[in-house]
Formats: sequence, structure tokens, C-alpha cells
Amino acid sequence: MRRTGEIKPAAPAYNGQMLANAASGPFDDLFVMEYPRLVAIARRFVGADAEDVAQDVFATFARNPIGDRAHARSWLHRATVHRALSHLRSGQRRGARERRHVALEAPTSCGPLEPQRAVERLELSETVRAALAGLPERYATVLGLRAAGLTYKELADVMGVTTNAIGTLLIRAEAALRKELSDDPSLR
Amino acid sequence: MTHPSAELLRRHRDEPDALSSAEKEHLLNCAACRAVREEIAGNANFAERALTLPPASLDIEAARRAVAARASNQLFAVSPARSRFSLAPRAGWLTAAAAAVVLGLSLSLAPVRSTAANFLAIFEPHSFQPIAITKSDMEALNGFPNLSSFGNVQETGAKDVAPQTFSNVFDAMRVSRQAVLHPRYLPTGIPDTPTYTVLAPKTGAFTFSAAKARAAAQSKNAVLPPMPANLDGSTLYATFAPTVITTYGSGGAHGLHMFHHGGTHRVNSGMSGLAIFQSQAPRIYSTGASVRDIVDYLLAQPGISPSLAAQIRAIGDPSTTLPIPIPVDKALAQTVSVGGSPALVVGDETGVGSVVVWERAGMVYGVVGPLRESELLAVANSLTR
Repeated sequence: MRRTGEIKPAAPAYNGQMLANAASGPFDDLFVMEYPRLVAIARRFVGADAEDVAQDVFATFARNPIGDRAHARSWLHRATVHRALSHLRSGQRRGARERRHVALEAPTSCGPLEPQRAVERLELSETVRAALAGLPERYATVLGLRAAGLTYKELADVMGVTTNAIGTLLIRAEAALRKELSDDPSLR
Repeated sequence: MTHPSAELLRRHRDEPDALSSAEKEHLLNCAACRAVREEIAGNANFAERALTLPPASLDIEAARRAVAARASNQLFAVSPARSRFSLAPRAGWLTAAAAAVVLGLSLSLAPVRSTAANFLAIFEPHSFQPIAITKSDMEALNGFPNLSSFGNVQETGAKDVAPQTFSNVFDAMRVSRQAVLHPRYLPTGIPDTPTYTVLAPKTGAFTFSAAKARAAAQSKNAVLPPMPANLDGSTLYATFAPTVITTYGSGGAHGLHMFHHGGTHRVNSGMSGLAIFQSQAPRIYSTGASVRDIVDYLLAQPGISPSLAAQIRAIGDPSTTLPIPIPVDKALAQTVSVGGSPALVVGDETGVGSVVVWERAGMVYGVVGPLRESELLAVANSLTR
């Protein structure tokens, strides 16, 4: 499994060692604001292990002071997807294809999954996670981040592209996800 | 005109203002563009169904400890000096309400703890306690120093995020990450077509500063009680989740902003409809101020009457009880039950309307409108997924 430590900070340190020792306000602000979002991102890929991933990313962040707040957020989001995808793929090397046909965890209806019911699920199914794991990393990244609520501007910052390019990326990623899950009757 | 690009049509699905008026007009009249949009929307809707999840229930304080353990022993020593959360002064009884809520929130720190370097969840409302505010209380509280007179206040989240309005409940659920409730009963005369307004999440912080309090007092030639040394530098954090306001008719959302964001967004005006609001309960965190000192300090300020102070001190469980200031000459409050949960209903005697608010499973709900209390409660009790 790859470690998140391999991800290089995107920008130079700011305000001396403020983030290095995490003994000052900005780190705490960032933690309160971003930890729930990191968990939301990671849940799309690793389900119940999401907090473990988010905590690992924040611990890495605290050890490696990086750029200003905007850069810090982008780095946290990018690192979370990277770590979560690594976690997901490492756990799915065996039998990933077989799990494509496992039924959705909940609800178990064979009919269309209404949005109202979708929001009542606790975690995504193995089927959906396997599909994400099978997508190109950029597609999985933009889908996971968008599902976790990032705006187009935030997505553009994380992906390093323009907001218009995010539209293109989403179109391709969503089409690819649908193709991957086309044999899942509960999502048709 | 040229056809809008596919990426623009994709963005238009999530952000309706992504297209100009001319482009929207074009879209209405161009079958080719509509076909592209429908194909894009079909895939986007599919992905959304596949990837949507409800919000997770998180213990931020436990997570903080876990991260601290992973990183280093010194990672989370919290220093003072930053931030403010916005409770700007307002006219009339809302000012008194804000001041009393601040006092109530401060009091809520009381039973918890006061360790210097920890960051603890210390307040989450599960019930609501009416606090009677007299006319003289209101007049006195209008002169109550602004919160920024006691320290540094800061909105730490995204600034000035405009509310988003939708006609489709699924859009509201997608943006807010909440299962939006709807009423099975609406009183006669209330339009039955809802509009959904989603207010963005917000976080803020307030750090007590003795120097700032001294300077504020000196600037007004006032003599205020000195800030205790262990209060100086203590920080409170507030987190507010997205709020969904479901409005039937026009203007029902008036005033609901006061329950969210410290009133930074006024989503509507007038009150001729009915509004239902819902949000995850807000949380307050503390770096560990000595709570009794905070309460005593604030209640000792000029403008707090003995009766008001006594009511706040009498709150049974201040870590889970949100005081709601009620102007005694304008409104009446009583405790009721909504779906088995204790609720507070406030009837306005000036004809503006009534509001009922309650908490269930970590969510705060409310219904407000120009209705009799019985009608309001009937709507509240009919809410369902």
C-alpha cells in the first residue's frame, strides 16, 4: 500500500512554523472545517474506514507544513482521495470483478434507487466502490470529491484545471461510472 | 448564437446561473442542445444516485485526539489569539435575543471541563428553554457591548456564500446532504408548491481578549468588571451545518436566518406563507475556558438584570439546552410535544405568526408561519420523509 507521505506538498510553508508545530489557530480552524469533509470524501471509497483515512491524512499534514489555506485545503482533499483509493484498491485486488455482482447493501430493492432512499443508505455498496476502483484515478477523484460536496472552483483547485475543464471531466467520469455499473439492476 | 458547450451544460445542471439568459433561451429552443443536456443529466443523475450518502455522525474531539496521537505529542496545544464568530448587533428584540443566546451558550460550558490544551465539544442543543425578556431587559441589552468588545470574532468558513434556492427536493437533498422532510398536512389557504432554500454551512470562532475588553471599556468611558486571567485567550468554536428551509407561499422563510449564520443571510421578507426549517444541531467547541468564570463574567456585565441572570443560571442542563429569549410583551412560549420530542412553541401576539422548534436524533426542526399554534403543531406533527 502506498503511503500518503509520498504526496508532495503543493506550496511552500507559510507563517513560519505555524502548521509545523500545529500549536496555533489556523490548524485548529482547518481541522474543524475540513475533517468532516475529508471523512465525507473517504467514505465514498472506503466506507467505515473513512475516519482512519482522514486521520492519517491530517497527521501527515501536521507533520509536513505546506502552503496557504487554499493550498492546504486542496492538498488535504487530494491526499484523502489518493489515500482512500489506495486503501480501496489494496483491499480489492482479489476478486474485484466477482464483487461487481454483489447486491447493493441497502436498500435491497431491485427497482430504481430513488434519491430519497439513496440518502438513507449508511455506506456505498461494494459494487459502487469496486466500480470507482476500476475507473481512471482522475475520474474516481472528481466523482468522489463532487459527491462529497466540493464546488467547481474547489474541484478545479484540487485537479489543477479550469472550472470549465471540470465540466468535461465530470461528463466523462459519470459516463464511465454508468458504464461500469450498467449491469447493476438496482441503479438503472 | 452558438450552442453552449457540453461542459457548460454539465455545470448548468449543478449551478443554474452557469448559463446566461441568452444561453438559457437558446436551450429552450434548440433540440440538439436539449438532447445533449439530457444525456449529460442522465449520467449525472445516475452517478448521484450511486454516490449519495447521508452525513456521518462524527466526534470531532475524539478525532482530534486520534490525530494528535498519530502526529506528535505537541500537535494540538492550542494557542489563543484568533477568530471571531459573527453575532453582529441587530435592532430591537433580536439584539436582546442574540445577547441572551450568547450568554446561554457561554453558560452551557459550565458543567463540562476546563483543561487548558484540549478542544472539546461542549454544546449541542437537544432542548429549548424560553427565557423571558422584559422591555427593560431589552432596552438594557441594546446597550450591551458588542461581542467583539470582549475579544476577537471571526467567521472561519467560506464567507458570504449565498443561499441556493431550488424547486426540486432532490436538488435540496443533494446540496444539503439531508433527507428533507415534507408535511402531509397543510392548512387551507397555504399554497402547496414548495420552494427549497439551502443555507451553506458555517463555522466561527471567538477568542476572549482582556486587552480588547479594557480598550473597549476605556473608549466608552465605562467601568466594566475585569476579565479573569484564565478567560483571556480562551477560544470557542461554533459549527453550523447546512440548513434547508422549505417554503410554502411567499415569505415564509422570513426571520429563519436568525437560527443560522448569525443572521448574515436574509432569504426573504414578509410573512404570508409557511416555512419548515431543518439542520443538524449546531455544536460549540472550547479550548478549555473556565466556564463558570465565563458565565459569571458575562452575567456581571451592565445590562443583565438579576431576573435574566437567574433564569440563565437555572437552566438544568446547559450543555444541551438552548435558551430562546422571549419578549414577554410580544410573545408567549410553552413546551409541547412534536412526534414524541419535547418542543417549544412561541406564539407572537402582534399577529406576525408562531414558531415551533424541536430536536430529534441530532437534527433541529422548526415550523414558522402566520398560523394559530394548533395549525402550526398539526403541520409539525405531519412531517415525514
